[in-house]
Amino acid sequence: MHSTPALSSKAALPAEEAPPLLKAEDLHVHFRTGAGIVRAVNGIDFTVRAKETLGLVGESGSGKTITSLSLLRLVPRPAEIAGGRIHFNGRDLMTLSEREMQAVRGKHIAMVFQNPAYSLNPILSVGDQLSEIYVWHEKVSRQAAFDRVAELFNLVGITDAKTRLRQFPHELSGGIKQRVCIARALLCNPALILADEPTTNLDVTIQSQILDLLDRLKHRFGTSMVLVTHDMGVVARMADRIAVMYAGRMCEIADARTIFHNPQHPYTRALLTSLPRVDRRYSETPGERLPVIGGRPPNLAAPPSGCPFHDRCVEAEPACQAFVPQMTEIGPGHAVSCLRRGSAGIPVQ
Amino acid sequence: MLGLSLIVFVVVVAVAAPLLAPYDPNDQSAMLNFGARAAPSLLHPFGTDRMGFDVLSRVIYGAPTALAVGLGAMLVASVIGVVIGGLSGYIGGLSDELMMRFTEFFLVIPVFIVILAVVRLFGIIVVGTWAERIPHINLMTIIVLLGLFGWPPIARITRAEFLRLKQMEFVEAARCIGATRRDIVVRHILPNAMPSLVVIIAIGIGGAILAEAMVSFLGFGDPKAVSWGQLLYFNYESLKVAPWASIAPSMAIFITVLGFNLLADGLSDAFNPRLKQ
Repeated sequence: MHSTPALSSKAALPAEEAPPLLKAEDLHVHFRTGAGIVRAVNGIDFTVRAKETLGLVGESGSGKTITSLSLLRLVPRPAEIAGGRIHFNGRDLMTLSEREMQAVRGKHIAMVFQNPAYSLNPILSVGDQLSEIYVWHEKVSRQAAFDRVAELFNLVGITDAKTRLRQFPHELSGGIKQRVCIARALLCNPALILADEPTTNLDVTIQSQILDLLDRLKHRFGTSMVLVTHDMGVVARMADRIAVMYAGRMCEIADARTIFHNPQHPYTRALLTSLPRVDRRYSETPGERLPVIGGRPPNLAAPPSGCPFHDRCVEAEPACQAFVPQMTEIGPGHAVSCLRRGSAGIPVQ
Repeated sequence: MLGLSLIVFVVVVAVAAPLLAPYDPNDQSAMLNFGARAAPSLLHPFGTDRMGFDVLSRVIYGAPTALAVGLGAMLVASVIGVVIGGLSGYIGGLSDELMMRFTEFFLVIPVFIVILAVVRLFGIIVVGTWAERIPHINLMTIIVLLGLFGWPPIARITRAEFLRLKQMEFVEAARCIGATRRDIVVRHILPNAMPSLVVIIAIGIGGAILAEAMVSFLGFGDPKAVSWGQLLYFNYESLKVAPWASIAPSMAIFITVLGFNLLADGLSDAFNPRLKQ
């Protein structure tokens, strides 16, 4: 009974018409440091529709991990969510009490972490630590919880689930540990999974298996997913829509095909052209270098004025320093924040 | 392993004291036969002391006292230390700062003087009141005081472990999965801090036994309890005439404290996964 995934809870509408499962509005996350306020997430909006995978890409420090953690209201100190609304299943998560939030975490929104080696408690057997969560959320008996965990172990491709339940994390390989973590995320059949670089710490063959697994389970259970990564290859394979972040702001959101074939924001374009290609040779001679984005990532304690990308942007014009571009829809489901693409701008005070 | 065997030996002796001891520890009858300060013989394997007690029986009956002091004092110290250190490390910020300064304040107090003073004062205060009738009230005072002054190292280790563990990804993962704060601390952080805690507590037990021996040696011990330190206090004056009466309790203290220190050493190795084959 509890083991049957509740597929029926999500309406079988085409993705376009379905109401968004999650809608973040004007989300701000600040780090209060000695050097002043660092705006790690600076007013971003996005939606996650039912059953879709949203790829959240950007370079290190662009705020993508913090964004995903803020959806659970779990930003690490000294960060704090400074404003915004997170509508999820008809509720604003920002208005919930801590206790109500605990009931959401793991049950309705679950997370898969970057490093499976560190995200399991080393001194509890995997069966114990997973069944505990299930008992807590679903108020079932320990035995029922163990059965549920064993069932999920089978689903995520862990053979000999009964034996594995009694094993400790250090007895498992990296790939198996990540499967355990995925099983943990799926335990309560959540509506949304946040996957923060789920394959970064795995070797290539295992990466591929884990991505396949996530995709298969997502379709099977009708779960939505936010996939945080800096790997364009991974989003190309997994994401239905892609959101590109830079310096705590959203640059561009569009469906995956548009991002790859018709990118509009100069940063998105630069990201894509700096991907190495299999069918090209690279060397140190000027014409054959791998294209890179000039300059360095912005210091978020003292961000550039106006568009945060203007000092590295090949298309920058004087106005880019004076106006902060706003996300503006330029095509169906395609929004971009760039003055050169016709985005509205707010003058810098 | 040696540490563990020593401890097991002491514990067995303590538990089986009434069966093992050849005489009642308070039996001074040897004195009646001018048998005080008798050299070791078949009748009295460790000899008799200045007061006519059988040394072996006194040493055997000293074992439960020593263990009670060591375990009792460390129980008190662990509870205080883990609570203060845990809160300090988990909450952090200003409360951490305040609690750690408080801990340091306890570290700089000359503990020994305070214990002697309090034991003495308390011994005087209880005379003639109902508290006097509580068995071993003096010994319990010493135990509690050793605990009250023994917690700072435990608090510091606990704090350090909590600071380290609360940053660990599995703790964050537990939080993301909806674990309550109580779950996080009790199920995830504290058990992972246990290896370091057990080691420092094992060392602390040895320390507490030694401290009680010192207090008793200075004559501030519980007159009604049989304690190794007190045996030394009774007999150090006849060290030249009846050395056995001092050597036997000294060896007992040595074995027990060594046992706990070796045990701590062994435990820290046992908890270190790198040293497992």
